[in-house]
Amino acid sequence: MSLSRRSFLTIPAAVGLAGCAGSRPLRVAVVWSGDELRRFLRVVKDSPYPVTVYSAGDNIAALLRGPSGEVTPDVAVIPRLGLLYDPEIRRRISPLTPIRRQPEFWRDLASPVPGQVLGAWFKIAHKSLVWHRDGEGLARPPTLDAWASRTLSIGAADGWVLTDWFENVLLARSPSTYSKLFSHGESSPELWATGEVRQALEQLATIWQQGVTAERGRRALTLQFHDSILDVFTYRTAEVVAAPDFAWPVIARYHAAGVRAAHFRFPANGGAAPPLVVGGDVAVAMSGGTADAFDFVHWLTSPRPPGGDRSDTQEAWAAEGGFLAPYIDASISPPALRGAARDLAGVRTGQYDLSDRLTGPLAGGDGRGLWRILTELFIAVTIDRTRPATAAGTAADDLVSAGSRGSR
Amino acid sequence: MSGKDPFLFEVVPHHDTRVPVTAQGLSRWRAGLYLLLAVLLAAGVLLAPLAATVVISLSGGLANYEVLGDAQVLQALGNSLVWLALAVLVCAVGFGLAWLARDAGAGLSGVLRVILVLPAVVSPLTTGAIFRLIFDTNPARGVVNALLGGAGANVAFLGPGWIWLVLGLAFVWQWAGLAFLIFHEALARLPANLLRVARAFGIERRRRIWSIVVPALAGPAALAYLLALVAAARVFDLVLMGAPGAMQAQVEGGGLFWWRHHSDLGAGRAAALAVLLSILVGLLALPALAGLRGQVTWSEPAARPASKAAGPRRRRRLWLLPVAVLWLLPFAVLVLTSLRAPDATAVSGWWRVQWDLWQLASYGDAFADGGFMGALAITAVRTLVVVALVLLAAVPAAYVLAHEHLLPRRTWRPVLLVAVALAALPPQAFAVPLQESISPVVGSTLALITVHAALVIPLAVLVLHNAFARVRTPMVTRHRWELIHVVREGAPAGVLAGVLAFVLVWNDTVVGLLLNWPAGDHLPLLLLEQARHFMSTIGPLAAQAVIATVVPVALVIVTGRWLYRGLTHGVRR
Repeated sequence: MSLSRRSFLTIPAAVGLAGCAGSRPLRVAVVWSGDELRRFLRVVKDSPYPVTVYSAGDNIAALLRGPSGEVTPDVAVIPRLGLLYDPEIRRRISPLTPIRRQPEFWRDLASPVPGQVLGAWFKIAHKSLVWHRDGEGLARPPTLDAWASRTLSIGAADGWVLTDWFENVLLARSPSTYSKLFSHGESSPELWATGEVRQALEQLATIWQQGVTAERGRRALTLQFHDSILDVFTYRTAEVVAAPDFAWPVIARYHAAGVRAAHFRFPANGGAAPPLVVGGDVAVAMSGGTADAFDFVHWLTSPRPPGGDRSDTQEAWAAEGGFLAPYIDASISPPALRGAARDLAGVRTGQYDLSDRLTGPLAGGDGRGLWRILTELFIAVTIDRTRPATAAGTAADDLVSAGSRGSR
Repeated sequence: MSGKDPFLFEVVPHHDTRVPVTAQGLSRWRAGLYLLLAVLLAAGVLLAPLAATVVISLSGGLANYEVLGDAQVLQALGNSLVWLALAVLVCAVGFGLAWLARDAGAGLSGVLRVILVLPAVVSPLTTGAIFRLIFDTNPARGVVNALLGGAGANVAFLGPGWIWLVLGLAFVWQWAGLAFLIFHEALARLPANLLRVARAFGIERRRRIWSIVVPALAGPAALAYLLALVAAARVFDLVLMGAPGAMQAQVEGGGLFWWRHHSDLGAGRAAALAVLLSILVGLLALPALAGLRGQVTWSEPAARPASKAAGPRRRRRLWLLPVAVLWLLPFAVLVLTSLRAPDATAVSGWWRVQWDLWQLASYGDAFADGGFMGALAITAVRTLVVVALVLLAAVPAAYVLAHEHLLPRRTWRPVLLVAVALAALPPQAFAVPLQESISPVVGSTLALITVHAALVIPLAVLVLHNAFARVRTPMVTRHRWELIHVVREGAPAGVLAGVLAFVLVWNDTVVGLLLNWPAGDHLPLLLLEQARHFMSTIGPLAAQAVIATVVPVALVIVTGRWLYRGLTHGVRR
């Protein structure tokens, strides 16, 4: 135990000498990689605390749930709200005191137990946008059924892309069912057996079958989120792609010459309001961390004065696009994203990403839970050309049985 | 005690030249002391948690084994069987290449050996990334689809069904070289005199093959099969990196499935699945053990007359050129990709010659945050400490086992079987109890090093034992420093064991993931995280993979002669 991992981590900083001397940098675990990680590193460079960032990738749950409190980080920026509701992880998070001033909607989300706020939102996302090339006369389909005429680009290799689709359709059709599943999805399998869920799945299956041919479906399963954006904005092989606001920097980086991006909201069901699915990354201080961990979380998520200050690295990130936060003014975003930023600033009725909130066997991850069931649905309707009603029935049954596995 | 014993790495038949008497050696206590570290590590880290897993799986009778009724579990186990079947393919390809190269001169076969074996030291993560890139669906990035595009076709190779082709090729590329090495050596040592005599006596070809060639190849074939089987049973990171996320469920074996689902399954059912996996591997390993037992012990001089370059032989050798090129292609793809501008790698392939896009920016990106440098340094330090610990434990143990006749002959075979079984054991079989038993120190570097060492020690003991048993020692009077003498003579095997340990630990992903250590200082895990957005990070990912690959490749090239000697002879003379 003399050579603990903690002291070991500081070795590169201390040039291989006695790593235990002096104050240890805060260890911050995030999930990002590539561009996003680079931008986050730029942010923490301005932090008043010495910080070591490491990317735990999609394994962050395993990291936070690990067998020993000794190895958990001091601060984690968690992409899946469900982890805050996971009893094992929740124990290891220190509630924030005093309660941070974040908008009520977001604060409530981060309070699995009433009166106890576990985290503060660092980054939030608008997941009900549909992107297309500007100036090609595309308008928002008036209803969910009207998708049929569009060539869809779907990054089906990433399970979360498919769950975002499902959530938008379900929320558009039945906000009350969505809300119930959101609160009790893993403990009440019977909620998944309702007609609303089945019908939403069937409508989703119909949209996919009409918008994606068998050959494109096969291709779609090999396309990740970024690839699906290229299909619209670089290769022009598809017309629209449903993607969150953070598609913006990807479009900016790879778009073909002369192509400009535009977006509309995910279509509504009949005359109802269009759905608004939101997601985000919440910063938490882990128990065992020092007082610095709290201060760092506060520093990271503290409200910025109105007007905007481009020397602030977070506001600079927001100005580049692809970064929305409850503490940053909507007017700082690029013009194309200001509408989305305002949607989020006023979010009341919107619902948080259902699959990110679930725990247990329905929780996401490659080859797991809702991700896997929707992937199988996608394969069935696009490649095997199964009738949407049949495929949706299978998916609904799988959801019920997975749900009951968890509540056993 | 040689002859009938199923030694691993027993490629070259040999005579036991030692005197069959028990020399007065170390006292039993001292001999026990020599074994202590290896036994403690193997028992504490592998055997005890394994036993705990079995006990947990049996809590409540056999009810936990109803996990077999779950469709997803069955699919995963079915995938495991496909992977294990691919082990046979690996052997077949290795044998075919060895057959083609059997008359190649010393120089040519030496070069071929290096080219074919190098993929075995590449991390499966890197292999997965390379093959995912080669078979990319986008014809602008994937070279195979670019070539097919000329014929008007575009295949989603990474999609349903075809993904098996991609990962299967990756698997064969990675492991066929080892099988080649073993078969090539075995073919070179066929009992030529016996064959000549048989031919002179007019024995027909088929009988010659069945009664001379096949028995002579049984041992090496069993060894090649065993190695490929262990690799197939541990397929994990290849799928994580090589298959797009949504496709992974279609190709993942039981080990990966277990990792994703063990907390959903519950302790008992997860343990039952781990036990089933171990049994599956064990059952498939049985034919290999039988083959190793039946090996022959002809002693045939290796020296052969210089081969005459006859017509058909030359034609056969021409086949070797495309093989060598094909085998080097994945390395070229990786290096060329790492040398292109990061943005360009997302939208165009490595074969496009645009001089302004050739640059080192991907390497700059790879080192941008310092995390990679730190992980590189810490992984190197950790790996070297593990190598030292493995040798410290395995050398005395192998020496005592080889020279002290501590165990009655009858018990030697079970001991060997246990060592082989431990070397092949999937880590999933003992991960959970181990994690719980060492939970106070689970995150410490010391714990990680100990677990890594324990995993490699059985293999190291097997390799070293085989070599040490061949070192001639004075018959009657034992020298005080005999251990030193034996180690010096068996140095090639020592190098082999050290390099094996180095490569296994350097490339490890499974232990890091299974035992939940944070990823910050674990080099392969750092690579894995880059794969979240595979296409847009392939530039820096390739750069990091190149650096992570250079280290073991350089090690193998530097120690190449010793490794070859260690693998085929074990001893210096």
